[in-house]
Parts: sequence; C-alpha cells; structure tokens
Amino acid sequence: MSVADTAQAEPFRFLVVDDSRAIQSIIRRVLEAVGYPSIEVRVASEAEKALEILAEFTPDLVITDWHMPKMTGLEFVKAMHNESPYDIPVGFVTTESNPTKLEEARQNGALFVLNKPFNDVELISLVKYWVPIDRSKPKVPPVDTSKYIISLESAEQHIKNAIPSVSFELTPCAPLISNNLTAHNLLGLYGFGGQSQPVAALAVLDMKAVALMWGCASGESATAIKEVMRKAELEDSILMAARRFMEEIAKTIATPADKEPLALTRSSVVAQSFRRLGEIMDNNHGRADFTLNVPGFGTGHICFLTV
Amino acid sequence: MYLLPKAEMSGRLGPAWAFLSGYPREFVESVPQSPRAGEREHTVVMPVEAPKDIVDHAMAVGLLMHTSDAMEVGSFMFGMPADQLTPEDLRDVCMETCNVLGSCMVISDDGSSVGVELGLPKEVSAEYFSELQSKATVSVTFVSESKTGNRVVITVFDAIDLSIVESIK
Repeated sequence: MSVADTAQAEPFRFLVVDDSRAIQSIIRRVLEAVGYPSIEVRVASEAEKALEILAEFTPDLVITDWHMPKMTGLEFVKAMHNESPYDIPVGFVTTESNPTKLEEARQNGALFVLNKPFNDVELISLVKYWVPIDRSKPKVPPVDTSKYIISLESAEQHIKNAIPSVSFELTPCAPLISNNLTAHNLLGLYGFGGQSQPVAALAVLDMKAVALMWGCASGESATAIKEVMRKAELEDSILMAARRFMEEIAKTIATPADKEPLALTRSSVVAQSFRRLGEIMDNNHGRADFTLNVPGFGTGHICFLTV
Repeated sequence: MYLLPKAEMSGRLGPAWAFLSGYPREFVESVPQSPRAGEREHTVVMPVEAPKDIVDHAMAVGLLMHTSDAMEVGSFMFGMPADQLTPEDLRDVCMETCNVLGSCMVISDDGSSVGVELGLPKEVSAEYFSELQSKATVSVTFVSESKTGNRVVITVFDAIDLSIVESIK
C-alpha cells in the first residue's frame, strides 16, 4: 500500500461537543451521510471532556454547541486554541443568534455558525466544504501578499535557517488579531539602526511558533514541544531560537528608503490580553502574517507589523 | 423587545418541530395552558437571562410535552425504536426541544440595548411548572395538538418572581 493509499484509508475524524445526546446523534447521522469512505466520530457532553479527548485525538473538524454547562462553546474554542498544538477547524451548531457573540466566535477561529433548527443538507454542505472528501484544502480566498513587509520567500529562508533539518509549511494567512494568538506570545521590537526609540516594527510569535522553533531546532519530541506550548513562563534557552529568527530576519523587513535597516532591540513574552498589542494588530502601517505548520508537531502563527 | 413577532414565531415553530421529529406540525397561539392532572407530560423550564441593570425581572421559556410526543422526537433524534429509549433519553429530548422551540420565540439581540441569553433548560415537576406560571405574566403561548389530543405547549413567562427562577438554575 502506497503512502497515498494509506492517507486515503485514514478515517475522517470528527469531535462533536454538545450537552444534548440527542443532538450528538443528529450530528453523527449527518456526518455519516456526507459520503466519506470511513469516519470516526467522538462525542463529548461538556467542554472539559472534549479537551481531554483532544489530548489524544486530532479531528479534521470539531462541531460544538454554544450553551453548555460549566464552559461555553466559545470558552471551549479559546481553550482548545491554547491547548492543542494544531489549528483544529471548528464550527458551531447552536441556538445562539446574538450577532456580537457570533462575530466573536468567528474571530476566535470558528469556520461556520449554523443555527438550530437546521436541515441536514445545510450541515452536510458546510462539513463537506471544510473537510473535502478528497482531502484537498478548503477553497479560501487567496491572501494578497503584494504589500507584505516581509516576503514569503525571505520568511521561509529564515525559518529554514532556524530549523534546518525539519520540513515545514509556511503559509500567508488572513491578518491575525489578538484572539488568534496564544495566551502568551513572544513580542520583538525593532528600531532603525538598532535604536530602541522610536519603535518602528514588531514581530509577534505565538507560543506555538516559539515552541516549534525551539523543539525542531534542538530535536525535541512532539510531546515536549506540546508541553512548552502550554507554558506561560519560558526559560531563555527555549526562547533563543525564536529570538535568533527575529534578529536575523530584521534586515529584510521593508523600511523607507531614507532609513537605516531595522534591528531587534528588545523581546519579551507578553499576554494575549496586552491591550497595546491588540491595538497595533488592528491599526498599523504594514504587515505580514504567516501560519507555520510542522506536520506531526503543530501549527503556530507569526506576524510582522510596522507602526 | 426580546420576543420575535408572533407571526414569525408561528412560522418558525413548525419547521423547528420538523428538525426535532422529522415532520412539521402546526403551532397556533393559545391561551396559557397548565399541566393537566393525570397526564403523562414532561415539564421543562429554560431561564432567559438579561442584564439585571436593564431588566429588573426574570423571564423563562416553559415546555409542556406529552410523553408520546417526547418518544416520537426521541425515536427520530436518537434513531432508535421508541420503546428502547430510556427515561434519561426522554429527559434529554425534552430539554433540547425546549431549547430549540424557545429559540424560535426569544431573540437574543434585536439591536437594542437589551441582549438576552437563553440559559440551560431543566426538567421540573408539574407542580413547580404550575407555581411558576402562577407567579409570572405569560407573554405568549403556542400549542400544537396531535390527532389524539396530546399537546406540545411552549410558553414565554415574563415578570417572574425572581426567587423561583433562581431555584432552578
């Protein structure tokens, strides 16, 4: 059996999180009707249980309710984002219809929100779109990289330098917002010619990207990398590979012609809730956003911003 | 205002029932209905939560559903013969029915300052349901009756004595 055949034989995996077992049954029935060659469906009646399942099960899609005891669906998605090494696709099936809340769900990575009651066809088409039967990537609008302040090629080259013996995928992604980051993130500040003031640009690596660079550079196991992804405080030795990446890529950040090249002046770990970071991610003069995926290890986010 | 227009409620409840049971059923506006003594009916209440600084009274959605209807819904949702459903299955079905039908009547955000939120449904005793009804203003009731006279009743309670809603959370 070839590698491709093995991939085809892998079941499509789903996790359904809903405090109603009746709704779990309906969603399972819909998943069975999509037309996948084989599927594996796990169910959880509450978010805590779902997070336990995700520690040893990586689904192609999570479908979650909003209103559940103890932890809401939105809180669950935020926790999943922080705890899982991968960007696991998630959609909501819910009676929640408040537009503000649904927008918050989307900002936290929800691919779709389907309101109950729904008909099977609606859910089948959403599932089929986000988890194509041929395992191709879902068709998402291409990201315009023409105004990126760092080219994809340059970023790729510097990641190759940081983790030379590991294959990875670096993909331009939609502009990141603070909700897309992990609870703690490595922030780098750049100044012209190494001057600390004014701050001219920032680099933000979420903790998953930091852990991937550290672990892949030093040959750590997937388990060790996963543990680091969850930590709030990291020793300097773990931050070193990401800091070196930030330093070395500095000169390739696009700057005005009359200015000296940028240099990294400072870096520190900051919380996702750091208000100023969110403001700059929303309002800046230029940016480049990337998803770093190391198959078998995890997915992180990297963002460069000029201020 | 946190209630949908009644015409819209009526238009939503039928398809919502189809989602739950596999076939549509007509719901019509009705006078308030209480649990009937001796009937095998499930009674469920779902709090509707609003910011206390904006709305100074409690609201809830109440469901009365005959066991035979609960079994039909359960059989469809769980995909198994009705006689294999457990009491726990039926409780689950009734709570989800209250959730889905309630969402056809209460709007969580109409763009005004009052954003309400559907709480978690809970099965209650018929006595409790009656007491709740007696301590509330009934905003609207819709009922659907089967050919055999069994009924599904969905009600929005308003201006409830707060203590009784707190006790079911």
